[in-house]
Amino acid sequence: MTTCDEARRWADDWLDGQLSDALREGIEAHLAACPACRAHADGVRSLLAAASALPREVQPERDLWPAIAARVASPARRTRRDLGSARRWGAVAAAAVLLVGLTAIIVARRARPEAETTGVGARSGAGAAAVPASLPGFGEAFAEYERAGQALRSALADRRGQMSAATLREVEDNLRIIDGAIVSLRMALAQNPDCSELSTLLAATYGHQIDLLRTANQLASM
Amino acid sequence: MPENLDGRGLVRRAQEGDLEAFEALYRENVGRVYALCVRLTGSRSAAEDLTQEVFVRAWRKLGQFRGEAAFGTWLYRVAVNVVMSERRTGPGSNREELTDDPAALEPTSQSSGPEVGMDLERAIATLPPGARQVFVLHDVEGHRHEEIARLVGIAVGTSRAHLHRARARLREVLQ
Repeated sequence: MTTCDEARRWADDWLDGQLSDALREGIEAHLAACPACRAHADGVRSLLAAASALPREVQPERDLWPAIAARVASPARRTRRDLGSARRWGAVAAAAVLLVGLTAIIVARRARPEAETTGVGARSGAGAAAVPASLPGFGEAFAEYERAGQALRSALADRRGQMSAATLREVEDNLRIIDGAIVSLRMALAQNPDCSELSTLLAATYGHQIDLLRTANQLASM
Repeated sequence: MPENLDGRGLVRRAQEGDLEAFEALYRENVGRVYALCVRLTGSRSAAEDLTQEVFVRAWRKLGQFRGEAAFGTWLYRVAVNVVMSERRTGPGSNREELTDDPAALEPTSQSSGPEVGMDLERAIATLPPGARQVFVLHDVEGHRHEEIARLVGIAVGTSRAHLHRARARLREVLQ
């Protein structure tokens, strides 16, 4: 004979279907005869229904993504996966170094002023006064690159406070390399306006510059 | 939905280091993860911290996700492990929370105020930590006592006792 104490102690397991047949039959017989214990069991059943009906999703009161993005993009917490993007940055720098080398060979025999280098937020990039303001052939396309580059530099200058010092230093170093390559290529192209190889190299270098500036802006926006 | 925007496409892109794809996965799943964290901890600020930790941990472990289960299921497991790990080792852990004896888990004075009429979410937050976690994992999330015992690091009998106490306490404060 199941008592009220036993019925209430076992009500949870009974509702969860965890009782042996003998205990289940005992508690069910007791509940059929005891309104108080039946009310107790109904109360537990209502609680379980309410618990299972709770929404599966609750949105946080603030957007947590910026903090998460900052942590997963932080060099100090870099993982193997993060190294993928690091390698991409390295590839940009390596490409720029290669271009500097190629350009140096092409223009080695020509006298030229010191190439201007440029940091993040500097007023002028590759389109410095030391090089021709306009170039034949691809001139308009290169002017577009210059305008896009300046817009991205300006945006990055506004966001530089949101980047770590180490990241900013990497961006500036990579930009300096690319800017130097662009200056050299423009000078070489001014003296060899019909050289399609130089035009192709210059376009590729501008592309690297824009990619780097875009990536830097994305990182600074996280 | 285009192939590259569905869950598997996003996961594949995120595994290749695409942060935008991972953000999309975050947007899809943050509500589920935060709901679990806030119910298990009873604290919105702790839940925000843990939710961030879950996604950071998920980003780092994405290479281990093989697609055998849905991404949301895998992420849920990461979330439970993060919360339970924090419970055992984090600054909020203490002897009371870690005890295997539910009799030691009397409601704190903070949680014994006039809660009559409060909704279930708030009532859950007032439970002692061990009872709250077992109730959430069993009655809200649908885990069995054996799973809970393994996740929380307690005996199966302790899990049952916590659940009994949690239900009794909740019925009391919700009346």
